[in-house]
Amino acid sequence: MTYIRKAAQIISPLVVVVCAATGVAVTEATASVSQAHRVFTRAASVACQTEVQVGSRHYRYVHLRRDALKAGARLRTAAHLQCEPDLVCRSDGSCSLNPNTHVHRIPARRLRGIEPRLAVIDVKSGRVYVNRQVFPINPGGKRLLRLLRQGGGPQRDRSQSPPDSYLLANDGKRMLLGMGDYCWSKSLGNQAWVQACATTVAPSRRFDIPLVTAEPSASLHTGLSFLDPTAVRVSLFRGGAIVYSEALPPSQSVTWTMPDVPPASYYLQITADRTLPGAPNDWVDYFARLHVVAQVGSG
Amino acid sequence: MLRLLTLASALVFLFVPAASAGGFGPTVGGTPISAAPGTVVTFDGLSVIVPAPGHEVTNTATTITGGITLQVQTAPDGSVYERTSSGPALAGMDTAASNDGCSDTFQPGDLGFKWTSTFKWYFHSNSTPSRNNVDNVETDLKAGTSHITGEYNNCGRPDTVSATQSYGGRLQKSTNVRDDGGCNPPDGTNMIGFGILPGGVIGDTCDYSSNGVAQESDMRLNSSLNWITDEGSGCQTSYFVDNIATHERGHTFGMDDEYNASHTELTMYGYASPCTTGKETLALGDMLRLESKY
Repeated sequence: MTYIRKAAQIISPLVVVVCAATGVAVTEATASVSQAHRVFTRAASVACQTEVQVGSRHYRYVHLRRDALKAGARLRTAAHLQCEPDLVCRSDGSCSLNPNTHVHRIPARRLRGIEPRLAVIDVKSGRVYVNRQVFPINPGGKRLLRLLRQGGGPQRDRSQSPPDSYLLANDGKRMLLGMGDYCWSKSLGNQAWVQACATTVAPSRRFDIPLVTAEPSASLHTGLSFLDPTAVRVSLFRGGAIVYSEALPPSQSVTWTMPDVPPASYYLQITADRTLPGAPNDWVDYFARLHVVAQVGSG
Repeated sequence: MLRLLTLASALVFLFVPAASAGGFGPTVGGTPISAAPGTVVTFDGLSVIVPAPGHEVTNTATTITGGITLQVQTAPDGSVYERTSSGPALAGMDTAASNDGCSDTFQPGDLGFKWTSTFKWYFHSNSTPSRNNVDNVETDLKAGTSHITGEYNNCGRPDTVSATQSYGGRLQKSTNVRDDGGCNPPDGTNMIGFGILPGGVIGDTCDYSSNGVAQESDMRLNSSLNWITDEGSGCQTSYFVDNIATHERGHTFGMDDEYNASHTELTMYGYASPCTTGKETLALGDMLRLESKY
């Protein structure tokens, strides 16, 4: 379905632009605007003003009632408004973890009764930021408050779920991939098995999916943290459609070359299977957000 | 019963000062684009006018199967940044079985075990979220299970699957699925219920098997999410119990997930979105897999 602007006049900073679904296609001239080649840089952009970095943890803004939480002690580590780190891979073979530039420092503190690994507050603006690894989705105000007070809620049982896997930079630094659905077995002895199958919220609705910026023909290195995968497949999705899929030789360490796809935003999915003797078939999906750019900016 | 999907489409433009932009929104950072205030930027059929410096504009198209977001911000220095999200669209491929679902022979994978006896299961009804009606949830859970064993479809295909199930009723006993998504040792009772699960998990199934024969299956649905059973009740962020239960029961009966977006009509298609019902109806590929197993 396509949409066309009916009336779009900027009147004031707080105006609702009226529009309607008409089924009429946007003209080619306007469509070409966003198709232009882009230089990608995330440094100090306004987009980073809802993200906070404290040490190695990345937090995202979440709306909570003003009086829901109170500020506590100062943090030991400085907090900055800052985009999440992204893995930047270029066509020359380099791949590095880009920490991104600070927008500016903020007066962040702990929240009373809540561990700082879960959430922090900017005492100047009153904004609360939650750790996106602990809260991959926002369960909503009351539930989020309850989970914050309960130590973040349950985390995945690592003995009965696939291990974390990573994208690797040239210098050995790692970027944790988001884990999607899986079925994963555990022996109960005497040829008996239990297999846990988890159905997860789609990656597009999650906030813990890492970001990769890559030029066409860049090489991406993936480290799977389990032995002897029996199949590995890399797929790119965009707009609900699969645009590229490739079966790779199964290995713990997988390297693949970015296909020649148009510069745009994609989801990168890495599916890995394993088969233990006599066990049900296991598999897991890992995800990253992938920005394909014609040329990575100096940013 | 195939729910009639009304393709409710909403198009929303929000125009706010960039400084107030917030919310637990998509994590994609802004991508600089070569556009000037007043010009039009498009993404996947959506378009917005680039706002004045210091402001942002968001265009979200929402359909019952998902949505697309285009957000454009203009920094105080005039540089323009675009954030796009085809999020729900990726997830939103969880649609009702279409005609394609009746002709596509692609089968989801086989988990490698099967039931050789009647699958008798019970509902931990006291775990039902207070927002939901227990009777309605029970009805949906029963439907979800029978959709698998009864090959529920809109292709006119007769049920030839030999797998059988019976509902044992309500039983106030927790499922073997733990809060952390792990599985407790088997106890011989197939339970289904609600409970806490790790963030981002919709449902978790523990399947116990021995030498390829299924012994027990327990299922937990995440009580931290919103669940819905009634059609046409203004669903926005809730998951249909019937929809997810049918998919999870597919695991119970030994079917694997499928992620190839060419096969979104499958019940075993891996993504699940709020307010979608497509998994309730088996596609041809689901049925072929079940028929090959049973």
